[in-house]
Amino acid sequence: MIDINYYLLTSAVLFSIGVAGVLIRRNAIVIFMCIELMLNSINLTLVAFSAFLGSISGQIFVFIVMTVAAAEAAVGLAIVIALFRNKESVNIDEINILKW
Amino acid sequence: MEFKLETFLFFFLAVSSIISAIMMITRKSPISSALFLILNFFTVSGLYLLLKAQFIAVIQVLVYMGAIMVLFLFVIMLLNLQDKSKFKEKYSYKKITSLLLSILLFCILSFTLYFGFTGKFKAMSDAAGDLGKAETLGAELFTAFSFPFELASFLLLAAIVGAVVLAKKKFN
Amino acid sequence: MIQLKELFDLIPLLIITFSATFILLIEVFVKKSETVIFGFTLISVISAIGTSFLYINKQLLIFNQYLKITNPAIAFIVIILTGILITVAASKQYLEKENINFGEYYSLLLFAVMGMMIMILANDIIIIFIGLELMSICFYVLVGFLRMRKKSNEGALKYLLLGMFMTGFILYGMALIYGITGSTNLTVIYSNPKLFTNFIFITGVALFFIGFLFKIGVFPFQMWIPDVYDGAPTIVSGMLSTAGKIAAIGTILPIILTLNMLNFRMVFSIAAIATMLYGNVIAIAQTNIKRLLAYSSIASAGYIFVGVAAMNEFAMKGIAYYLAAYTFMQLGAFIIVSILEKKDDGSRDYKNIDLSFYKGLGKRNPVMAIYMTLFLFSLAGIPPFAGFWGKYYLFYAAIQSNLIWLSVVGIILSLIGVYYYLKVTVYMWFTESEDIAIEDAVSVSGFGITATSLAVIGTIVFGISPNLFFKMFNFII
Repeated sequence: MIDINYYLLTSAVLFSIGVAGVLIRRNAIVIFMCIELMLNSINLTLVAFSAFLGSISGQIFVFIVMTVAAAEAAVGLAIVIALFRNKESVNIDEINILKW
Repeated sequence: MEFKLETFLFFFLAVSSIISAIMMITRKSPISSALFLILNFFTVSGLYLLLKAQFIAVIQVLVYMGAIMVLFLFVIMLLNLQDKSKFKEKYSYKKITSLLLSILLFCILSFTLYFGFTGKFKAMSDAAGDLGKAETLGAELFTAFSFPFELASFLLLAAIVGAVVLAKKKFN
Repeated sequence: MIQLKELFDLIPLLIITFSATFILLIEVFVKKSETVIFGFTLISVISAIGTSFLYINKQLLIFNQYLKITNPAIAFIVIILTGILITVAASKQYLEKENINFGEYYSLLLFAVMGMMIMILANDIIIIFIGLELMSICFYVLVGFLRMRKKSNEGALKYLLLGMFMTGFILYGMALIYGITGSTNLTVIYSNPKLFTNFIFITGVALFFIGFLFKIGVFPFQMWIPDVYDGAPTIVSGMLSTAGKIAAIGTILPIILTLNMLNFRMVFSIAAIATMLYGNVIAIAQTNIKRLLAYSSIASAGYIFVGVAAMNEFAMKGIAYYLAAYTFMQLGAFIIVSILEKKDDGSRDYKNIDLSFYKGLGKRNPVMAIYMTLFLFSLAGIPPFAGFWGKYYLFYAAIQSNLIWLSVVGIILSLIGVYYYLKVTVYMWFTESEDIAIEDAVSVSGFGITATSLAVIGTIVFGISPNLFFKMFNFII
């Protein structure tokens, strides 16, 4: 039987890697993917809690998070495309009219 | 020590998910990043199966890998980021600081989680096997959780309207 | 299970949801639909304000205990809807000027309002999350609504990436809270004994609050505010800085008061001081009026957090009063900027938003200059206007909680802030325009001027008689 700590630690590792990716990478699409990784690692935490607590709300929460991730991906990629049409770049270092 | 399939599977999946996540944030090309992210999602969906959340595992494959990541790949290819100079990245002291920050975050999280939950749960709940079934989830989603479910549909509607306005609407 | 009749348990929410969806249909089936949609949106917001007052003093749990109607929540919703009413009234002129007069704008605006209402009324962390995301997703799109402008695109991308990043933290916090209490229902979570001896709960709450401090723009999570407000369409900046902030404050304030987070008073005090200092000092160097107002909104978040740190009943009243006053004056100032902005001439940048444009405005366009002066005086906290009383109540609340040092520092910092508001006023009345060729592209249509007049009336009436506000909102505590 695997203790809940192992699941939670795996999720914490993935979350921190996602945070590191957001802070290190400069490509808007890759940053976006790192955020998806963060959300996914939180889903793992929620499912682990749900299984060990025997409560269903955790799994319902995962559904909602997936919905939100899909919605944000749609809007976010639309914004990236709109920006690319104007700027021909997705590198956030070149997004310099407004200082980062 | 007695060999257990479950333990082996857990460590195999956990380690490969971590490796694929690290590969994902270090690849130069966005396409390979996206592919490693898909691998990561696949291993995490294996972890869901170990947690007896079958339906979530299936949804993970269908929605995350099948829809969201395909959208990402599609956009990357649409933007045609072949030109290497367009995603050239510089390395600087800022990156080392941010790496240290995320390691610090990990230490805080793991410390809290490890000491907070050790011994709190003896084992997986007996109900866990039932919880993950599509039948149980569906029944709950349309009765007790119908309000969040309806709200999520409005969220999707707003996102669709927004995406269409930004990407398609004809501007003068 | 939710029954059909339950839909009528909360009429304002029903009205907003229905109109947001119905606008999309109007756009498809009616020709020249913009004016129809504009009128429809105004009517539905007004009727939502009217019906909100039906729920005063009704402590109800509705929709399977997912929403909880409380008096402070109703007060926050009325303030937000008033701000939205002024925004919608001023939007038509701006959208026509920029050639982006689409029905989707109003629909997204109302969806954002729906998210705010859900968030404030929520009695379950899942619902807080959905409301927050519904609001944020609409905001991302609205910030990027001027699709032809690079600034607007960049502002939207920046807001989206940082906003989603912070959503991750909020969500992790919620997951930890769920793990330790075993429930997502706030009533159940509150009923757990000795929550603050458990450091998982503390970490969870801290992560949760980090995300919300980001949405409010409290130091050190304020860095996105000037860029996003600068990049967004001006009318949207006004809405973000008022309704968006009020919704986030209205969500965390009841949580702070219920959990009685006195141990965190020092954290909130320091955050308040750092925010006021940052906003007021950096604003001095600004040459762009939109960025100046953005820094002024950061400073205002600092004043509000003085009230949050006080954590007493008086602070609740003070915050509500300040937020109402702030809605009128900040939104009014942004609307004036949007009216004076040059209309779209195919260029990919905003025009006439430099401070130098405001030199000699008093001679060129006295009405706009008088209105702007009123709003700036009120923001600076000069006595007869509403902004003064707002700050007075917040600092007074801090003194009530024995935080005399906090209110003294706050008063000193707000005096620094007077400098840059007065600078703009002096520019408008006592200097000559350097560039003779400047012409005001002002076509003040009925609705633009009505919206600003509404804000002016609010600023003056609540300023001359603050008791009027407390009579109207006597139910708040």
